[in-house]
Amino acid sequence: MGRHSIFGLFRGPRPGALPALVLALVLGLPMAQAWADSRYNDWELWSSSANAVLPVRQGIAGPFRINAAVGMVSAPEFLGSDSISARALPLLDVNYAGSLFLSTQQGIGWNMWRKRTFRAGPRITFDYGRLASDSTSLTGLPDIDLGTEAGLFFESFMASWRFKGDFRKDVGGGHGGLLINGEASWGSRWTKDTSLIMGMRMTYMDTTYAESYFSVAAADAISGRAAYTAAGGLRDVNAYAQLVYDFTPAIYLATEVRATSLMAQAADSPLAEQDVFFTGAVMLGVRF
Amino acid sequence: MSDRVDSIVVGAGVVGLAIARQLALAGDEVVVLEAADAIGMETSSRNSEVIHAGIYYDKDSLKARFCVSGKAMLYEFCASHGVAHRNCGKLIVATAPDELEILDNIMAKAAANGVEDLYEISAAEAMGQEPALLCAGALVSPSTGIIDSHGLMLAYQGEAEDHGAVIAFRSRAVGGRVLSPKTGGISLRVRGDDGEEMELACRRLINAAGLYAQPLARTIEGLDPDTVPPLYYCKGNYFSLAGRQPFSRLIYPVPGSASLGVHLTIDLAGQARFGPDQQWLEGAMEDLEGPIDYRVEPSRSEVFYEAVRRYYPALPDDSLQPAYSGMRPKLQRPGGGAEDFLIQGPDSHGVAGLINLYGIESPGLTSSLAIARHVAGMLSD
Repeated sequence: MGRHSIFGLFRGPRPGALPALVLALVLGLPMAQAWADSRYNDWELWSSSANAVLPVRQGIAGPFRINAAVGMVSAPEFLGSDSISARALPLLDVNYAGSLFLSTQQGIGWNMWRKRTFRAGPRITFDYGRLASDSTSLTGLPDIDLGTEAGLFFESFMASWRFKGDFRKDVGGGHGGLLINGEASWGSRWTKDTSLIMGMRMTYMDTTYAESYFSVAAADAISGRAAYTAAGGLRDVNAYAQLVYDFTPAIYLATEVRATSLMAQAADSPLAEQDVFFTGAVMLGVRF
Repeated sequence: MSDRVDSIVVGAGVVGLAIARQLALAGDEVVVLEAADAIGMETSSRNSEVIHAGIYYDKDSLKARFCVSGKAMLYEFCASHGVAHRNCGKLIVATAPDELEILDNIMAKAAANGVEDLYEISAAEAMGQEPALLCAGALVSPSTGIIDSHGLMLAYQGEAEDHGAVIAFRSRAVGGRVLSPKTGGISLRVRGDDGEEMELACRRLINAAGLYAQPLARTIEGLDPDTVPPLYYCKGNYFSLAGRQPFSRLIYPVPGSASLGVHLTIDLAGQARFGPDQQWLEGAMEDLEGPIDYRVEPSRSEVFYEAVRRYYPALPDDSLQPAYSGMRPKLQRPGGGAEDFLIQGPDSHGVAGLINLYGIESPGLTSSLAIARHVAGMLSD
């Protein structure tokens, strides 16, 4: 049951509709509600990058390359939660002439420097924030609103290896902080139709981000959730394995399992109900 | 706008929710009014989360009766509803030889309350079982436990809602009017967080507003204000222990005048914490102006170090960190004797259908199901 006032028993909108609306406008998706329901504070943490690792094997006419998928993800209710929930996960990547991209995974960006095995440029991403209503463990904590992040990224391929890095600074209404990500992955075709990708990723957070997501103000401290001031540092390290099966050159099934370990100040937070957690995702997609 | 419902419970704390559940299970139409935007945001979520045995309270007091019967009901409820809890037991320790006599008094009081499982052990036995402990003697309370208080409230809420109860958040009862003292009927003025107000009438009103019970009762036109007892606020601060917790059971020193002493409790995640202390707010405060200041002053740790080292001498320097605080709605004035729960029905104030619950502090969490059953019984009389 939602948290409504006595007046809301008779009328009034549900809270939390704005992020879904903004996304619907930005991405033009009719599934904004499903997207809002699959909120997570780092949208690249568990969502499959398999589709970006492997080159599309078919010839595509025209400047657009589109990758669309739907699936389910099993993930903690919030970063550190010991409650796992399954949620719908829509995915859409639109790439224009190899230069501009709009992606539910990678944000909106421009491959400003682009070579055969390297690309880099600016991009805008979104942090979906965290609502106290996401979990009973967050009751009474202030909401972290949807935030717009601006940053730079790079991606480099070397044979079967791929290296990625980026930084993201909140510039509008969200956590207010900075994240720096580094990732290395290895991918190979396992069989004619099956590809395997394994990788590791680590994320650094600054103090502002840590305060938003992992601190508990004195006024919000309750039994079982003591006051805590988090400082910046390594947020988490995670390892993942992805398996992609191509039914046809266009249609694929991607699965992923990922183990994440919260680190340092994040792991010590009373909001970290478990330091190590596992996530999994299954997606059915089409490239064209 | 105005509307009418059968029963209104003011306050979605552990006691208000237990009452709402009890009434809803009986088939009543129940609306719970909660000023905050979530359940249990005040006293109910700012305590030691302990299932008390019922040891310390005066014989035949409501606290003793409700705690002992409520404890049994609570363990059964937790088991049947999957509420996280652990029957870990506790030690009540005499920290000096002159406190051994107090242990004897506690033992006698417990027996008078029907707590039959308490037993005494020597200092050597106690320190053998808990190597970090220093004491002159101890009582073991096997039936004491710890509980996920928020999980309990969620279970109450869920069952109440499953039986038709509705919880209205961000809905503060700011005034009331008795429509008919003889036949019942009370109209409440309810304010949303946008300032908009509405009238909501009911046949039965249960005031379980905790820290705000007296201020609400005083606004009810037609209720004799002399029946409303003074309210005193006593803040309790907790400090958490950094690192591994050194005890397997809860450790309580012999109790003080207004609290059970700075004791050690363990939460279900294994984190140890010490508290609560007593920090009286000035005088009788009928109206809390603005939000309650729940900050914990780090400087108060000095008192904690001194109190805790009486039974845990190896407590390292700088190991206590401000954790959280709660506010007790006390009927006991500073320096006065202990007071019982006060639950007033028509026999006390003459208004049919109105139940006021005052001074519901510890052991309110343990007593919640017993209080709910008692209130339902008062309403059915």
